[in-house]
Amino acid sequence: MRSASERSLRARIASVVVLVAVVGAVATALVFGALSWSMAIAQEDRRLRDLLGQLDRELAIEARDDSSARQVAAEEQREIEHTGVRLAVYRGDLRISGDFATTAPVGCRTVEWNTLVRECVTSARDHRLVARSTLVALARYRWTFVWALLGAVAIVSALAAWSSGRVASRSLEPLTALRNSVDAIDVDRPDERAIGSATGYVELDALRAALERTIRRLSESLAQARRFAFNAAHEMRTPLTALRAEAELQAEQGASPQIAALAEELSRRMDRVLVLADSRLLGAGEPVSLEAVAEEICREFSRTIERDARDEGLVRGDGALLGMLLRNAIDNSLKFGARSVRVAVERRGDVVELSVEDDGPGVSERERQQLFEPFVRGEAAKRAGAEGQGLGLALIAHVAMIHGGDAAFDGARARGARLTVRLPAWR
Amino acid sequence: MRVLVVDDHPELRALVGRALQSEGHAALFAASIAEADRVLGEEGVDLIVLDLALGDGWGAQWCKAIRTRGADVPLLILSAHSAIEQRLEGFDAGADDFLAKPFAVAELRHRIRALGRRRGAARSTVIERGAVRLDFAARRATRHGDECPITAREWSLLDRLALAKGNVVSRGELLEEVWGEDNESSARSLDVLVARIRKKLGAEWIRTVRGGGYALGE
Repeated sequence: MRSASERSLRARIASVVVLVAVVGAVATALVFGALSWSMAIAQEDRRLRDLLGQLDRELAIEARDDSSARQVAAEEQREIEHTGVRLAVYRGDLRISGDFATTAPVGCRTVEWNTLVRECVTSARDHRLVARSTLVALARYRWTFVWALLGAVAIVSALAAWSSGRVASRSLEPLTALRNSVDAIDVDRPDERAIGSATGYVELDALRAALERTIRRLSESLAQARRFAFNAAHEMRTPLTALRAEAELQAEQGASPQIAALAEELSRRMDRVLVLADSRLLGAGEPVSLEAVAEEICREFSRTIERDARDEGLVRGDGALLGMLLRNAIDNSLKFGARSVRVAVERRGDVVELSVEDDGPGVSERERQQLFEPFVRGEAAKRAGAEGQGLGLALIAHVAMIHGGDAAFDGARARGARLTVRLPAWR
Repeated sequence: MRVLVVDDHPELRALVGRALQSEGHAALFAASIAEADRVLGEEGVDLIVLDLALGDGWGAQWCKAIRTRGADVPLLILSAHSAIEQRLEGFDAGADDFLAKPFAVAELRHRIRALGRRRGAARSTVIERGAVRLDFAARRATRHGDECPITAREWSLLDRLALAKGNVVSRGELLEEVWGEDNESSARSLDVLVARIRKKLGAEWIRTVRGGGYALGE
């Protein structure tokens, strides 16, 4: 779940896309509107000036005084009646002809906005000629035009809102791909090469390079820590071998068997560290029957462990490690007070399942995943005061992992726990 | 038995020696490959316990070398390098068994006893019959050229039967050597194991001898 304070980059890009689209649509509409408006006006002005030019030529030829000028103008007005243009002729401030008054200087202007009356004035010799027209069509369609623009803006905005999510997702694709490859990095063996090749986007490649450097440094320090743990544990093997053998030999001659038991326990723990510190995947492998492993390991326990083998459970791997896995799983069940433990081997398609089921305190939902991390001890372990460092389950997960499989606790159960290890079946 | 213990750690050499002597074996010691070569050449050795990391070389290579020279003395690798790669390398080099350090003394004695029984018996390294080929040295089985998954315990059983060269090996003997104990549960496991080997290699590979035990099929 995302908390309220967290913001989504996708939503941010989407809202920017919508904003840009709306602003773009409005701006385009305004520019187009203004342009077509001025074109319509300019065309009308040209028409008015043409008519005035014609009137001027007539006046120049025929008008000798005011009354003849009035006649020429009236005639001209009759001729152009069908165009809806009205003419007026002034001499000085005196109106010789026309049915409207104006004092406007030479030029064109809109004198009435509501019905859109356009007026052009020219001066010729001692006359001022005026033409007026009503832009009926433009006036009528003016509001239609505004509504059309608003409609277009609305449609564009809606389209932008609808597609912005997709656009944002698409723009974020390289980032999503990078995130997925970072997600896919195996925390046990971080490898900077896993985050893939350059994306070709400058910003992302900078992020990728930074991630690569961090992962490389992490992987180096992890390898160093593992080498140290491995060498330290390996270094102790020889003296430990001597200690254990010495203790066993002395116990045979009547000395306390306690030291031998302690030495054995110590060597078991050392083995666990050695296995966990070795991060390599299993290179070679021998055919191992999980059923045979189960039989052998169950015999080690003084308590009877129920066995249910429905299959030989043939896998490729390391029998000693798989034995260690099962021993740890049974140990784990018994440590927390399970009274009965049942080991089953079953084949399901290409997978062999080894499961250890008990009637102990069980594992809570919350702990199910984190218990497999090294040095994590569960509630049950703390309550029971059981000893251990929380390496048993980590070892199980690790051995399963290097065999190409996994280990997990099954989902909610009425009582007890069931640990299932899934390994790829032989071939 | 005269057992040669090759290990460069003096205390460990002495401890393995004591564990063997208390069983009635005689222990000979070598701290290096050169010394082991000398002892093997000069004295009669019935069995070798060999460490892998030695001052003057790698144990598995020496094992390979003496096998090439024709020495078929049973050999057990006892090493702290116990990853599966090293174990397989050991078997490939011609070792008969592998035990990881730190080991349990009882386990070491049991393995040495089992190896001792094959003393003198010629090593049968490869048996081929029909489409099946068993390479005991490398512990690899193939059928029609495909790898046949024979597990460690199945190899022990086949190994013991191969040693008898077609003669009968009693159930008790097999249980004692392969499981280390003769009881009801191991007896049941033996039946299961024989059935599995027959399924993997073919029924004719293991013959049941009524009232006696098992033998490698003729």
